[in-house]
Amino acid sequence: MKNPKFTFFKSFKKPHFGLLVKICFTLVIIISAIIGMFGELQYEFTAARVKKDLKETSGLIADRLAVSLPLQLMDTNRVVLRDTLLAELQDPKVIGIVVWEPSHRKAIYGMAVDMNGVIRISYSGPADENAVKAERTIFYKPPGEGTTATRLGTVETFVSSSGMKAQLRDVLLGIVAQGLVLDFIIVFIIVMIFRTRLIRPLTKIVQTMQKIQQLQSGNQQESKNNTGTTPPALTLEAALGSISKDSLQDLIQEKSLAFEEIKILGQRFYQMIEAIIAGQKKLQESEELFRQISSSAYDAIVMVSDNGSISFWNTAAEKIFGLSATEASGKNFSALIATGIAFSANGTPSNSLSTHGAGQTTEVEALRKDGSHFYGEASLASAVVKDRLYTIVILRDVTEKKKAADELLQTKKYLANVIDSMPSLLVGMDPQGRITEFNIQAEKKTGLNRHEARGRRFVEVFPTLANQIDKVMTALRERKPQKIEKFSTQKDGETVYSDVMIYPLVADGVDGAVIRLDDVTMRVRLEKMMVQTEKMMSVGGLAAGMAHEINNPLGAILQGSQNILRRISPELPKNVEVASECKIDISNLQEYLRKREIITFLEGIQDAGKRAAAIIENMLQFSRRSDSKLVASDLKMALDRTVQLACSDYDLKKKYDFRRIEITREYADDVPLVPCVISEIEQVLLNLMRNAAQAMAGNPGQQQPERITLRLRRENSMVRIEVEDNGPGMSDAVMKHLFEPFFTTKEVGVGTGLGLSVSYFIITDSHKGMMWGESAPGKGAKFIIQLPVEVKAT
Amino acid sequence: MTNQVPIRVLVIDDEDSIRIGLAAFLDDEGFTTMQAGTAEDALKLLETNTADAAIVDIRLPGMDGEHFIMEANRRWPGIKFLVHTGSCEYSMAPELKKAGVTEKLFFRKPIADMSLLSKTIRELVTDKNK
Repeated sequence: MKNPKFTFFKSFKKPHFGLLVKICFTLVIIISAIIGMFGELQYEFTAARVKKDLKETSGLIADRLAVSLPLQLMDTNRVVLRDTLLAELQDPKVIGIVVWEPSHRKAIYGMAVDMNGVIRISYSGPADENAVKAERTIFYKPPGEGTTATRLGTVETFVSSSGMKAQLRDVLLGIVAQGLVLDFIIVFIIVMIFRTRLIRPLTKIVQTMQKIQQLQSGNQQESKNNTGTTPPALTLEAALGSISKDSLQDLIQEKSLAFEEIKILGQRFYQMIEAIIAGQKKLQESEELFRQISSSAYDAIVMVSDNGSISFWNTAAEKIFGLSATEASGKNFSALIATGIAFSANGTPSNSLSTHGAGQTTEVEALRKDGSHFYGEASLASAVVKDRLYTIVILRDVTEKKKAADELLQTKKYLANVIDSMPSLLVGMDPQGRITEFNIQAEKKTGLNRHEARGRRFVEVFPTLANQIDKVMTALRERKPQKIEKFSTQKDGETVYSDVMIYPLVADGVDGAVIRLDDVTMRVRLEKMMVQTEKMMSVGGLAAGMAHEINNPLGAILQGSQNILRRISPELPKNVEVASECKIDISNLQEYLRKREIITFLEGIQDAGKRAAAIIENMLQFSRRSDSKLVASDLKMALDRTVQLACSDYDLKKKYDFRRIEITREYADDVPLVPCVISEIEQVLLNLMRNAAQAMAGNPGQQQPERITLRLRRENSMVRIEVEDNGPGMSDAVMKHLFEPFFTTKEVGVGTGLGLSVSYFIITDSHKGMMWGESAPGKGAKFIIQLPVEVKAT
Repeated sequence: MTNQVPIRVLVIDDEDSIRIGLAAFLDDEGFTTMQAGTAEDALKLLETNTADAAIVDIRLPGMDGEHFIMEANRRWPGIKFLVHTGSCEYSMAPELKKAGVTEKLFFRKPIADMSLLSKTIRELVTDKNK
């Protein structure tokens, strides 16, 4: 494809002198016209002069004839006349003479030169119409003064104008020759001037231009061949520089440049060339700069034309996409983008520019040559080049960054997960005691989310730990972990135990502490219960062994006393028989035994034995396995039935009116059926209610109306029953022995001290549940039973 | 009652006072009783005597009550067995159930009223005779 601008220069390659010809032609015409005009004037002038001369000549001849002719006319002989005329006609100028009568009606004599130059008699003058005629009147005046002249006739002389014509032709020829010579000289001079002063410098300029053009086209070719890795611009610049410096300078300096305009033109041209060189240099520099920038850029720089095809593709793009510039050139760019930039039908990004705006980055998933995906961050800009809209995409491969960020995020999530998965409450704080980290357990405990908690003071969020802040400070100061074990707080009337660990952060640049708070209430409770259970089990085992050992002698006592009573009775025939054998009246014996109260004593033995048997029976419950199967039962019903039972309990009625006690029931709705031996559970509940009633009745300082609160709710895999009273409560000393057999606070004879221990065994051993009490003096007592919803086979 | 053949009951218990007491009561109730302090003695006794029922203590020196019941039941299937034990941890072995010992025939020491025992034996043996 040829650049049209170069065709202009091409026309100068073989300069045609159109202008010169035109100038010469015009000049020749002008000069010719001027010379013609002058020639015409000269011609006219010459013609007039010659005509006048001829007329004068003709007049002179006529004058002469007019003077000479009267004599000849007077002579009747016409020979003299003829000779006179002939003589006159010898003059080659004179071509005709006619002599007329005075009336001018009739010629007297006439002679003329014919076409062939022969003198003939002619009265009408010569054939040549252009002959110059002169007419004179012929007078005759006799000599003497005072005589009158007589007219004799008129004479006409004709002088040939042919001589004048020749003269005029010579004049004309002279004029033409003059003009031609002038034209030639002028044309020659112009051509010479053009040649030396105009064409040559112009040709030089043209040559320079051609040289520039050649260099430029060569440069283009070169730059096409190697895709801009080496800068060929240097050679162009150098070449151009040499041209301008040498030849153009000469051109201007040349003295031959006489024309000021050409000089100016040359100077301008030189300035232009210099400007071009400077521009070119600048262009090359900026091109070089651009090339350097685009090729050294870490980011892919892609220019997408309005039809979506790639028109520029830098080195980084080659690397990132794995696609060389030649491969990428003309390819549809949207084919390389999986997500991130949506290209509309005409190839322009439909979303990004409009929605994100130029300069903002957008996340892109792009495709490499091998089809693998990578992540990029693209910023888009639009540019209009030669009326075409281009989209400039600057894309950075952020796969690694994204991977790292993803990993970081993953790690962060993982760590957060780890922290949140821990059952412990974890709180991070800075040296000023402000919260920096807050896990899910902490959120649960405080009801604050981590964002709310961050920045707040630790003691403000955990006021219960305010008095432990010294330990925190110690940990921070000494950089040693501090531990607060079984730190007790009250929550909803229950004692909650926590282990608090304060770990100072010793990592570089991080100051502060992590506080770990574990709710160890359950552990503390379990520990207590373990101790309790251990104790109870040993007691249980002891009781069981004891019971067996006692049962035999007790059996002997009971059976013996029964046998004795039977064998002193008169109702048994054998007794009567044996008595008579012994000569004893059985009735008398009976009478004697009654009077001596022996029977009463025996009955006393029996009662005591029975009572001992009952105690042993109770004791045996510690370890006796219930053969009864656990049946899924409704504990609400069990509670209600126990309340009824308590109301009608004879023992209770005797001393305490159970109906006087206010019973509050707080049953949750979602309590499932619990596998249990309902009668045993009822026995336990009755025991607890009876204890509560007795404690409240025996409390002289009972202020509030007596109340028993029964609660029932589900707690995870357990059902929790609470029996709470507002009685006098129990001291720690009492609490320690709560479930021990034979431990009682009741008056001697009122309680056996077995009620709670039996209850304990029923719950923990038979039902695999848990039972504990919570109380403090003056704060009432609460017994908690937890029964598993599902009993695992043991 | 006197017209009837007395029911023969073997009482086995290593505790003399218990054994004698039970036997005395049953004697008074019109049963014919035999006594043995050990299972081995009881087996010997049964080789020469017939019994309708036996009251067996479980914890015995030498052969224990369970083995005695199984042995005796094998050799003399007609005998009815009652268990009389002081152990609170004891639960009946399934073999005893095979020998016809039901929950009803299980007595725990101490028996406060022995009339329940005599009544049970009578019903048990009468049922058998029927």
